[in-house]
Amino acid sequence: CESQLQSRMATPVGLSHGGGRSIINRIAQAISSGAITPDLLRSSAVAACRSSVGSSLNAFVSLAEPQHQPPVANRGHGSPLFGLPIAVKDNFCTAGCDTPGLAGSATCGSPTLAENFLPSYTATSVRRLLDEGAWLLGKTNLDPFGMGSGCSDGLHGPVRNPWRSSLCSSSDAPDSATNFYIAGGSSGGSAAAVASGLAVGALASDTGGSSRIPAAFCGIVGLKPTYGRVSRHGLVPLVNALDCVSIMANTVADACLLLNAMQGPDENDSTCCPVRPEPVGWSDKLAAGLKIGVPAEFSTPGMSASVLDAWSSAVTHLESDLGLTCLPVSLPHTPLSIKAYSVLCCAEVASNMARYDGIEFGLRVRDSENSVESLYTANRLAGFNSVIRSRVLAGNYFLLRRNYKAYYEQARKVWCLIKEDFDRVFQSVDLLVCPAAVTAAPTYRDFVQADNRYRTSTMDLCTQSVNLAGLPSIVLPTGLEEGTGLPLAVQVIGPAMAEARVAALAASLESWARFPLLAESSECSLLRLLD
Amino acid sequence: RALLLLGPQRPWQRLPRHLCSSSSSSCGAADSPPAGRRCRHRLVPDAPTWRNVADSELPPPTAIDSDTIALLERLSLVQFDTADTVRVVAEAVRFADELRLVHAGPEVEPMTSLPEAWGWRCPLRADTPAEQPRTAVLSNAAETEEHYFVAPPGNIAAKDSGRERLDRLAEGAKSKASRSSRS
Repeated sequence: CESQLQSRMATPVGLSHGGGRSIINRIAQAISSGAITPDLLRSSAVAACRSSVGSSLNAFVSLAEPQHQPPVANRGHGSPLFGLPIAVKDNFCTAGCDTPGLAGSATCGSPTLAENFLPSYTATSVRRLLDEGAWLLGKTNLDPFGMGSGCSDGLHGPVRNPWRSSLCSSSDAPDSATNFYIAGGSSGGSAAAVASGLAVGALASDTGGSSRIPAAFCGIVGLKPTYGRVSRHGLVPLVNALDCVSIMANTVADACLLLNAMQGPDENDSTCCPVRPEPVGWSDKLAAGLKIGVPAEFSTPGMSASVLDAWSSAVTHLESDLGLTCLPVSLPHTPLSIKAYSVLCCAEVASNMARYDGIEFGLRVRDSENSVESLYTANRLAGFNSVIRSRVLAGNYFLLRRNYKAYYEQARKVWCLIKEDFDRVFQSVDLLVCPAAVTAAPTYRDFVQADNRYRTSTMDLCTQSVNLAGLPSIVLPTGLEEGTGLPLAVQVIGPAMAEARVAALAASLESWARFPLLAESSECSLLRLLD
Repeated sequence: RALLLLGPQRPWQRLPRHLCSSSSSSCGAADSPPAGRRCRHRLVPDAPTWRNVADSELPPPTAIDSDTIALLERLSLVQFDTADTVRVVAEAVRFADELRLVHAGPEVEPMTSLPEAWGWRCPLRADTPAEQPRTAVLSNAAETEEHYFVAPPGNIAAKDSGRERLDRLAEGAKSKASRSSRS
């Protein structure tokens, strides 16, 4: 990592990617040629979100009101993000004064912050996109405080996967109240918004897979940068040591355009990389002699045959068609990683949730007892669902004096071993290719048969170890599952700060896969405006 | 680094048979895909490479008893509320028990943070106060009085919720645990 940090001056956003599909660039060209105006883009985007088909996804918890906005400013003119409607997960603080037409909020999908909380500042990552001329379309639905793999538990209800819903013209799935496919969590709203074309890009967060699982389920690109590459200032913390601002877009090039606009040091986040990274860009030709590692331990319990097939097809393509060297590698502590993650996550959650007491902000109930302890307990019972409460209680269990060494310190040691596994593997290969989600998207009805804890412990198997190691990862759709027609994806993982190398391979796989993006055909997609 | 386990095997270090061979084709191997399907790439294991850790290898499961419930509720100022939450916490603890099988010696440093492990020199802000208008600071509070936050008296312990409630939660969780057998 140290050797990969550069201190050269950044080149401007919009760096050519030498090819690769970019929907953002198509829209930018239409704006600069005058074919569409930013005002039209805004009003169409909001109308699509409010349409019966768009709103059926339940992707947004709040939407902009364009008629209350001043005319489009010239800020960011010339940037490819100028006029671009983006969606932001509702655990990012956005202040009303910075986002005209959209009231400030950060409900985090929970009653705790759904009232008495208007953020007085905007998250750095969002701020930087707005400075490039992007426009905040709305805040997206999520699992409460980012806890969950299905986006099913939030205050605002579950998010529907646009695939196999009424949006998809070839659908034959009855669209009943419970018979839909989940979007994945916790960033399901952002994923559904991007996959359906309601938004062209979205911000998400990823602590154990929360951007990559929904990306895999919804057939879009999910980019989790290296820990610290993008400032977390304004992202309501779940696990400070692992949280990453992540990006969802329909193409690898678009995800990188958004990353380039946001990445870099921030004096308000002292875990942010101190040196400005190079803008991510790549040429069409992959580096000669690139070695791809295939980690055996990513064939996990519960992995479906179709996910294994998608993984296999990708590796076969890289080896047989592109002639890349593909090597078996081992990350021996992988099965322990999910367990270490569960302890580290619960412990930090217990600490991070302590601030929600209802006194300075947030939900406050009428309490007859009139003592601090009873009021805090009552506020937190009303605001936290059982998922949050169980994580806080489990976290404090692991942190008890009698358990601290056996569980919490042990988890931190295993964390070290996980990171070392990856460090060692990247001495012999340049990138890893493996699955992201263990299966294609399940139906809501099947998903809710088991509790949140069980689900995250079985679904995050291929994602959370990447968070523990802090590494960059891109998930991209490569095909559709036989029978269900649901998206299947692969994950590309690289060493710390090697986003460009990861993106180059992901873009190459993307051109090979020619995945039928739903945003290209969906009736509520912004791309319709370009026809 | 020595990493010893209780028991004869290091489960996660065992690679499936077909990865150890140097031949390219794995067709006909025991774990190949069902007949009629294309063979997968030789490097993609057809079956999970994780070993199931038997319950008997783990330390005895901890029960979340009434005393523990009382202690955790007091420390967290969060209530279990239902026996189901107790069950979930017990399962979370059980899930983490496998970590206790790992004998990681003193040479394995417990991780604190990635920037620290990467040697980043992250600047900290100077310890000078940042001015904020008082109205902004108070603006989100549900209750304020003359520019103060309002909190109830702090020197009153939460009313003892009663042994009965705690015992009911602990018992309810135990019966749920014996019915469900996920590990």
